[in-house]
Amino acid sequence: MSTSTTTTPSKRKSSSTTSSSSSTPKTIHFTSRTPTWTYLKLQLINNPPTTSTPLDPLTARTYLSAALSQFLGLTGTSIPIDILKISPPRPSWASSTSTGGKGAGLGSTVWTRVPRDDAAAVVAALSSWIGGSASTATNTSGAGGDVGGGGSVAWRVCAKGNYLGALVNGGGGEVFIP
Amino acid sequence: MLDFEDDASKREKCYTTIGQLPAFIDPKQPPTKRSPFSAILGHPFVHTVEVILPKDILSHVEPQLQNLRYARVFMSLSSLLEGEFFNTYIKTGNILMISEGRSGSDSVFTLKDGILKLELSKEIFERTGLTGKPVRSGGKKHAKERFIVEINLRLPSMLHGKKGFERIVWAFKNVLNQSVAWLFFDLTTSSGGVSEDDPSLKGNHPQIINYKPLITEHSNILVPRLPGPEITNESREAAELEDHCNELSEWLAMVSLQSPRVSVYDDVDPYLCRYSVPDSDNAKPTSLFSLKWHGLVPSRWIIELLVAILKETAPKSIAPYAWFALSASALGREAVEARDGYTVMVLPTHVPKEDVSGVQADSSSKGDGRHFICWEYVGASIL
Repeated sequence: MSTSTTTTPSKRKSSSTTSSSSSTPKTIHFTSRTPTWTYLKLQLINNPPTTSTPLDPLTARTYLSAALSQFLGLTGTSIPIDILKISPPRPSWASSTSTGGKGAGLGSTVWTRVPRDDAAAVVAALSSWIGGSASTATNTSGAGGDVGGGGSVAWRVCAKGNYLGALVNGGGGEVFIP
Repeated sequence: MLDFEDDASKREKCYTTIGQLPAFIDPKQPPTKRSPFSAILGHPFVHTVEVILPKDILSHVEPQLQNLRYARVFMSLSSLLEGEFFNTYIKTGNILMISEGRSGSDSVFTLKDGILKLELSKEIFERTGLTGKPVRSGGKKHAKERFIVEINLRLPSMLHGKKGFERIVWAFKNVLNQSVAWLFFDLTTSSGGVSEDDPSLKGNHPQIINYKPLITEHSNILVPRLPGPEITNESREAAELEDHCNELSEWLAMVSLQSPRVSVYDDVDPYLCRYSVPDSDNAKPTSLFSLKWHGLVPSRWIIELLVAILKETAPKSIAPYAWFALSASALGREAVEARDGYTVMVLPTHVPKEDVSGVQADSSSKGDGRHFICWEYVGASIL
C-alpha cells in the first residue's frame, strides 16, 4: 500500500535550498531527489502477434493488477497505478528501436504513474508476468516462438523515471535510422 | 514497505532553478554562465525540442520559427581523418557529430569542438592501443570496465605523418574500422547545419534533412494558475515550493504526452487514474500549441530559438499573460547518471491589480526581466 509514499525530505540534504540574494535578480536553486511519483512507460506484448486491437484502460488495469497480484498477492493489488495515457501501437519507428524486432506482437504503449517507493516492486512484478492462456507459461513472450493453445500477453518496461519530463521524448535512437 | 532496492531511482534528481531572465538579451552574445543558458549549453546533443505555448501567442511566434537542417551520414572513423573532410570541417571548421549506439554497451563516438571522444569496451580499447581513462558503466560488479578516449584533433601535432597521429590512423584502419551512422551539424554556417556549397560533405553522400516544426494543437487543456514574479518571494516553505515546481513540470510533461487527463472533458474513473491538474479548481481551459523539432539539435540553435521567442513575446501588450515552456531531450546519454534533458518555463508577468505606489516603484526597479523555472533532469532509465 502507499503508506510509505509521502514525500519524505529525509536523508541527506534532499532539498538544499540556497537563495543568493546578493545579486539583483534573485535566484533559487534546489535539487529535487524524492518526488512523489515514478513514471513507467510500458508496452504490451501479444503472443502470438494479434491484429492490433486497441487497448482500453480497463483491460490495461486488469493486466497490471493481475501481474501485481501474482507477484505480491493482495499487497500488490493495493498499489495504486494511475494510467496517464494509452497510445495505440505504432508500426513505424517506434517499434524499430525495440529489441524484439519486427512483428514480435508489440502492442499499445501505456504511460503509468506509481508511488515512487513502490516502483521497484511494480517493475519486478510486471517484468516477470505472462498473462492470458496458461498453457504457454514456458514460452517467454516477445521471442515470437510457436505457441500452443491461446495467446498470451506480457509487459515490457520501456522507460522508468521519477520525472515525466525526462521520459516523454524517449532516448532518440530513431533519429539515426533513415 | 516492500523491501526492494532501487539504486537507479536513488540516483535520479532534478536540478531546479527559479530566477529572472536579464531584461535585455543580445542575440549575438547571449549569456552563457547563468541558468537557463548554462543548462542549454550543458546539453550539446539534443534530439527533440518542444515548445508549448498558449494559442494566442502562437501568431506572434510563428513567423520567427527556425527550420532544422542537419545531415545523416554513413562513414567510418578513418574517413573523418581523410584529406578534405579533415581539413575543412575539423581543422578549420566547427562541426558537431554523434554516432549511433547506446552508451554503456556499444562503441559510441562524438565530435565536438574538434575533440573526438570514443567510448569503448575494454577489449576494443586495448586493441586500439590508444590512451584513455576508465568510466563508470552502471556499477555492476561483474560488468567489464569501459573506457573513454579523448583526442583533440585541432592540436598542432595532429597532422598526417606525425607519430601520435599515425597511431590513431592505424587504430581507425585496423580496429575501429566499421562504418556507422552519424548525425552531422556544421556550426559555421549561418543558416542551417549543412553548408550550401558543399552538400555532399566532401563526397560522403549524406542524407540532408530539413525539418519543419511539427505543430500540434492541444485544445481545451486545463491550465493551472501559473506563478508570476512572486514565485521568488521568501514567504514560501522550501518543501512547498519544491512540490509546486514538480507538479508544474509534471503538468507540462502531461501536455507534451498528449494525455487525455489534462483535458477539460476528461472523466476517467479514479480507479484508473487519480491525476488531477494542480490546483484544478482555479485552472482555466485554454488551447495550447506545441511546436516540435526532431533530429540533431545543437545548443546554439536552441538558444537562438529561446531568444527569438523571448523577443517576440516581449512587447508590453502581450507580455503580462504570455508564457511558454521549452523542453529538450538529450541524445547520446551516458550510461550512468546521464543528463536527460531540461525544461525551461518562462512565466507570465502578472499585472498588479491595483497599482499601489510601492508596487510601481518596485516593478520599475526590476525592469523587464521575466521569471523562469528551469528543470534539469538527471539519471532516468530509458530504453
